[in-house]
Amino acid sequence: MTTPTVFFGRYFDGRISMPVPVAMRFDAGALVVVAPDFERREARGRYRLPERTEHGQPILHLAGGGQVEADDVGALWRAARESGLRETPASLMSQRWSLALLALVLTIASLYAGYRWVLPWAAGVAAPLMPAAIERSLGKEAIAWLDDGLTEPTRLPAARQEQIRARFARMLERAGEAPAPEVLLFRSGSGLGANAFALPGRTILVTDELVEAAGEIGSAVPDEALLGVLAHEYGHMREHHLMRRMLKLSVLAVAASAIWGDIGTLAAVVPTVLGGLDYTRELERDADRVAARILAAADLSVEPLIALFGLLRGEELDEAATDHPAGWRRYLRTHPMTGERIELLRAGARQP
Amino acid sequence: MDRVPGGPPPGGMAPGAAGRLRPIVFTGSGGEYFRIWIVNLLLSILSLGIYSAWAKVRRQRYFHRNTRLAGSAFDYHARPRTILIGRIVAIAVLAAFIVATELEPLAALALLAAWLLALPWIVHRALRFRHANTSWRGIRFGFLGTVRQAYRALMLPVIVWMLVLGLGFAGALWHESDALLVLLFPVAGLGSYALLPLLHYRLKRYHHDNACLGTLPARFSARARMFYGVYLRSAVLAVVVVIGFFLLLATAILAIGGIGNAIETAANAARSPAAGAGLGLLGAAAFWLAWAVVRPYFQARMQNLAWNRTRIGPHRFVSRVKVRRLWAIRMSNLVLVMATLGLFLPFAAVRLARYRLESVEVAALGDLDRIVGAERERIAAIGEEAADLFDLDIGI
Repeated sequence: MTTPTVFFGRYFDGRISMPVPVAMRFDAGALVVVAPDFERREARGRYRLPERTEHGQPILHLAGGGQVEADDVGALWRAARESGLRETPASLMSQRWSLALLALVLTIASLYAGYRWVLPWAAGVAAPLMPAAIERSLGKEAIAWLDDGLTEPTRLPAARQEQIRARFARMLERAGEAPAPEVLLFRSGSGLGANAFALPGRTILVTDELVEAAGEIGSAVPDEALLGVLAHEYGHMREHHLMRRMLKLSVLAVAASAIWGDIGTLAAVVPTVLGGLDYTRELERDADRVAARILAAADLSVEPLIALFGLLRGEELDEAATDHPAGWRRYLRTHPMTGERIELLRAGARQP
Repeated sequence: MDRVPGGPPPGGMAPGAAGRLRPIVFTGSGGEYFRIWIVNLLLSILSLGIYSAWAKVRRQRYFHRNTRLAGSAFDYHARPRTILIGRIVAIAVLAAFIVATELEPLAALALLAAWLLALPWIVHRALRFRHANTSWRGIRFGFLGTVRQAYRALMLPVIVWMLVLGLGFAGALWHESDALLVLLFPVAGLGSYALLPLLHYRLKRYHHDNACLGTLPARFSARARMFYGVYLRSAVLAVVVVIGFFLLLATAILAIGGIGNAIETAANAARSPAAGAGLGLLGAAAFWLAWAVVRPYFQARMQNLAWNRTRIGPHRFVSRVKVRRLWAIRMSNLVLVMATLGLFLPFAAVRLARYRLESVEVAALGDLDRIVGAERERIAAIGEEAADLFDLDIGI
């Protein structure tokens, strides 16, 4: 057996800041500290090795009190390795540029995977579990916000409102869905134009302008286009889309500020905003799927809904001829009727 | 000047030895810290945040063990598990706060009051935790400030100020005096700002006057008026920067377009709907510029003030942070971090730490080899992690 590598350093007893020059070696896993006037032997597990770094003072803590500062990190680890002592995986990864760059690639990949798959999945699981009281209070806030200047009281007669509510309830019943949402609200959307919202707390809000536009779509069944829109909004509501979006954005905001918070608020906000925009399109597709299924189950056609979107888009192109150009446009921007969405609606309707 | 408040030091005084300047040396490397940082980040993400406690210990150890004084490095002793528990408790409290805010605005108000009331306690716990877990040459630092002192230092001015304000507003309402009410609002605003330097001073005094290294106590000899001086000069600098920005802008417009043209442009712009947005943008730019210029000034002056007025036993500190140098480091860090989407962050942290630490020297009066340790108990990390979560600036 060769003689074990000896390394040097300074011993401190923890009671006084006086350095004592020592020589050290590892002996079958134990650390032996030899000073001019004493010798200490700490068994394996009774001392803590420092993380191996190129810079910085390596300090070994002794369980019986005191510590040793090694002079040369290279000698310390040569001795430690001879004695079969290992470093932690994290410390090993941090020592080589190749592994650190691999960690960078994996970090980016896991951030992307988390954003793309884990986060939407977790939000979907967590959203229905959130207390109903939170959703209701959020919904109240949203209605108060809309009523403060964006909307006016509806001009639809009470009988017409009841008729729409009854038709909506019947459609849901025929599709085997839970009873209609607690509140189907009507508002005259001066600032919103033709629009419909699923609000937190089982509330759907429809503007008079949308009811009016839907009336222009001829179909065999009365209010078929309007029911299509309601089915779509019901899809948002049933799937807790708003809560999911909120949860997702909160997590994004926290994660972004944890990683980039040091740079400044802006750096933390940008990813959150971009993430919010991206997520909206996904939720629209999800709501479309629900709508297509409900309409099919209630023996209704998706075509009037598609025609309604077409009408709204036509109005947008022919902006000057409409009464509420801004409103049409706004709805289309958040509900873009792409060819892909039309395909999806038709395909969903064909399925049993 | 060489008087040591609180009597003769208990140890470390070599007779007749003159103060000898010993520099603080920082040996960390940006590249190496980057490798630690990225592995920490990856493992924290993969473990859904749990590893972040271990990551914090690795980071703190790296910075402590790269900070050397008189041939020995500092060390960090907190255990990851303790930090993890502290983190979980702090996050749970924050989550409860958010849920309560959503459910009941009044509950949020009560919680906010509770949080303000708890603040001195959190500061106390965080300081205890940090000091007890920091050491040099095997001698632990300590923090001997009591909870009562924390409340007296931080809560009393706030409560007195609130009482004064409350009485003022109550009186104005009682006499139905609108003029008095209108007068009270700027007084309330100015008074609150005027209270800030005092609070900062009291926080620093609570911190630096109660810290110790082993049995060697620290003493803080700064005065509140010195803090007011730094704050006032920073405010003046901010005003000068904003005025200078607009003067420069006006000069540039005049130089480009000529006087008549500029007036015409200005008159047209005022009428256009974009004028409001443009003015808002200019205001934001001026504010940001003032912040970017004043922050390094404030930090440099504050670090110099706090450290030059602190001693541990007979040993004094000499801090010579230069405003211009700190400004250059902060600006280049900002640009590089933005350009690299955050990858420069660890390099930036090392650069900043190196400059701020190496600006400090210890005027060691006598022997640094005879500092005696003291027994310390272990402390939970809840205060520390709450302070971390809410970004309380109680950094050493």
